[in-house]
Amino acid sequence: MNKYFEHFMKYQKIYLTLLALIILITPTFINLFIGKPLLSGSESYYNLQQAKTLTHENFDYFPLSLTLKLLPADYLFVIPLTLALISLFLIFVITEGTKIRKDFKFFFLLFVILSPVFIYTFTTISQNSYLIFLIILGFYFLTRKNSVLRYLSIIPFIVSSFFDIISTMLVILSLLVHIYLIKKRRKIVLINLIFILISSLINIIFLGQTFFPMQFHQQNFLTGLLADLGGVHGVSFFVFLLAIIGLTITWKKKYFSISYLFLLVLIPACIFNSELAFLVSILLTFFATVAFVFFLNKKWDLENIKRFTYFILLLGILFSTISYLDRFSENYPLNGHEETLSWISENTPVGTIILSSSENVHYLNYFTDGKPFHLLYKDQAYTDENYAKITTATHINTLENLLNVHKIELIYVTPDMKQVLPADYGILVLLQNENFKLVHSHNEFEVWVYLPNIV
Amino acid sequence: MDSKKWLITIFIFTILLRLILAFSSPNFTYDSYFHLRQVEHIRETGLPIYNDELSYGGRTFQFLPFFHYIMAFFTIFLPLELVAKLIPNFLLASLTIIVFLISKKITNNKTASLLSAFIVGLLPILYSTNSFSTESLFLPLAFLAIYAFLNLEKKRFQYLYIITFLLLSLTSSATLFLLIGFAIYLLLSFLENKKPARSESELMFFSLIFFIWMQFLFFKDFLIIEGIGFVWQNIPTQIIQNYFPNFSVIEAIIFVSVIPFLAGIFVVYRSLFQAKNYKAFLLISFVISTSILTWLRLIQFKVSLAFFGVILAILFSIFYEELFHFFSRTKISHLQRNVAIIVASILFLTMIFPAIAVSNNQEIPSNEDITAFKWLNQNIPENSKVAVILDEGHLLTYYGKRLNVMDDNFNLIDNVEERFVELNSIFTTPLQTHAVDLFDKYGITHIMFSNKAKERFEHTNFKFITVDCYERLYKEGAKIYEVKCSLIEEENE
Repeated sequence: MNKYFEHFMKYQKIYLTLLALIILITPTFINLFIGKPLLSGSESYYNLQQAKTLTHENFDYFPLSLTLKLLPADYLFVIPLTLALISLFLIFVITEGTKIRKDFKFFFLLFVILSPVFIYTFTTISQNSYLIFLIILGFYFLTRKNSVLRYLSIIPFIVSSFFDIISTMLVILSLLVHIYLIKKRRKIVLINLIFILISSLINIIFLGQTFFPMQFHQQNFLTGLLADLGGVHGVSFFVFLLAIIGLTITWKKKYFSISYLFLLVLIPACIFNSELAFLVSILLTFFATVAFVFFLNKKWDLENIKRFTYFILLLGILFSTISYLDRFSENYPLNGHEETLSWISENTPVGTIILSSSENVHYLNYFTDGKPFHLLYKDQAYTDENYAKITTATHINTLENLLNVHKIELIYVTPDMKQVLPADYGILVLLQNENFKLVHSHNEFEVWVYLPNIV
Repeated sequence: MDSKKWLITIFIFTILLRLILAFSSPNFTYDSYFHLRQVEHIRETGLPIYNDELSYGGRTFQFLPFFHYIMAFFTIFLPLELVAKLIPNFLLASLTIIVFLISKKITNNKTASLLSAFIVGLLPILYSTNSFSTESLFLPLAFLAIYAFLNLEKKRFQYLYIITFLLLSLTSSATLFLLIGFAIYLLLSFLENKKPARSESELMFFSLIFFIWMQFLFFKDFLIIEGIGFVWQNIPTQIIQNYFPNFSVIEAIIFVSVIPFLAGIFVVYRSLFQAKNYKAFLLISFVISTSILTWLRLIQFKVSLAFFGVILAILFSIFYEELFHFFSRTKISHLQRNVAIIVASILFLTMIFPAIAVSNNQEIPSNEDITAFKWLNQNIPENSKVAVILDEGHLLTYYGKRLNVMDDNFNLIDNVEERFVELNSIFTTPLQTHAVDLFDKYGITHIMFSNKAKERFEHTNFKFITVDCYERLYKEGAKIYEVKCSLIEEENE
């Protein structure tokens, strides 16, 4: 092992924490530099809106609601950042004194930190960042020698069952794996399991908890997993490739067979709900690390080729990270959103029904007092069908009828709509009619008001 | 004569034949003009045209530039059009030497290897002698990499493999076939309980990582925008048949020649099921790999068939060796000495005519059309956009130096199918309003009906031409008009 490598292994806590800090702060700096809202992602604004309108149905948003009262929304980026750093610290503490090899721990955490999925999760106010933090915190308490602390693990595990059924299933699975592998502290784990099950039942019966998490991105399975193909919750293609090799390596080793359980649950679930790509990505990173460390510790005939291959691998993984950070400035909301939505908030009455693309729903909901068309009806299929009818209407009378039926008063046109909607027919063309007036615009963002009685 | 002299004779014969055929027409195949323009630009500026202001009226396009840089280097000493004729033919003729070396490595039989070299020298599918494309560099490099891979036990060949693979990764994305071939080779070895040498596995892993990295470096933006669909190059379904025609055995037999084809099938069967010839396993893996990639429409049918043909030529050496041994066990063993001459004569007679026919049937623009494109460069305003048929898109940007509506680099182009249909409809519609509508839509200022368009659409001119809307500017052979009408202008008036 060369001396640099040994140095990194020895001081991995410092280096990895610093790296995580730099990587997670970079998007915020990018946003600050280009004048965008510091918080990105539709999910962040959905959660903030929920925290703003706290009721008995969403009382689990109480901590966020409290924070929102103490800090302006723009500064809330510190929450995921703190969660990430604490999670990292707890992982170091939990794994101390275990049989997990230093190099395995180093590369696993390095790949996780460099993965686009980590950057996305811990720079947005997202369910996944809380879930990961709570699970790690739970295991931290569970692995302490002090029995009081061990019992404290019940709290984070119970809270983690408040998200959705699939997340609860994964928490239960993690605890079962713990029993299977560690063969210690069975009693407290069993107590945890009982509490989680009770909490989960309450959530399902009384709070109508859903099976899958709420979807904020519509991506197909493969694209969702690969950040290099534009996946939001994805990993680098090299990590994906290494994970496949890792799977073939672990196939023969009984010790790892338990990890396939997670794959069996997560992969089919991920096909139905792309938000779960986050958890699949973490699992893929684990298998990728297995392959990486396996080849690293293996003697190669061609030592120079080994060094060069590893150099390219690390460059490739880093390349995905940089490429993702480079794209981060394009993530919604842009400064155009903030400017135009603030204008809407100041200049339109409360409850105005606003038509825009589904990508803008949570921004509209958070920044304005209007009502996005996509949240008017509970039937999602009905909403989508009518949105398609409105945006592709070829005749002004058809469009007006639809707008009247749904009582739409404002149309909010964003760059993504201009890219997706037809340019030579449909709403973008019909907006030029005298019954519509462009009342405000900023960059590529336009606010049109519908004036039904003009003609 | 010893084998070295024979090999030189085969090489010289091949290069002479190729050059005679190449110089019998002064022009190049349609797709060559894209590469000619790139090489010319590299020679002038040192950089390829990634932001092309002429293609599709202005677009960004990324490609692997090694071939163009190599050719640009030769243009320091020779004129571009001479380089474009000489170097690709020289490179493809060099396949005779590489194939000889590979065959010799596999069979250790010089006569068999010479026959393989002879086959590859006359392989009809390689006789697009007027084509200036990356395949002319890709094929020799790929087989050089295979040769180096077969000799990995020697250190210098390890370096040779690494260098050739690096260059291949910078030349063409079709290098993927090598990686898939390696994977199949590993699978076959696993099925036969044969463990590949450690150095082999290590180089395979290195190749995989390096290739992917290189592709990500060059095509990062395309992958993010188009996702996995990028690998299918956004080719319009109407013309996908030209790029990836369904596999036709008869067509394949014609292009790779009957005897090597039959011999190849025999060798594959024997190697896989009877003789367990592990040396042939690697080559067979590449055949399977190219077939898979063609089936998945990831590499062009022509490239795949060229590969297939060269591998069959190599496999022929194994066939010949077995044939030779077979003769030695028969009563006509005294004729053994003449087997090579007889086989070579049969090969020559069955391959020379298809090779010449392939060369003569290349899709090359006529001199009249070329003159018309050159005329465009000097006689119409610089920012003019000219509607020409798809095949002539690169010809227009190379000679005419004017904006085209479409060419065959489809990646990252929105609504490419619609564009293709509408471009064709300009050449077929009798409706003036429809045509003018399209001219407005694409900003077309000039239209050209070339000799090629006459052949393609089986009529002699646009069907909507009227004197008041179109002024004929060029009257020799091809017809060039300036568009004077616009629906938008009429509305404004």
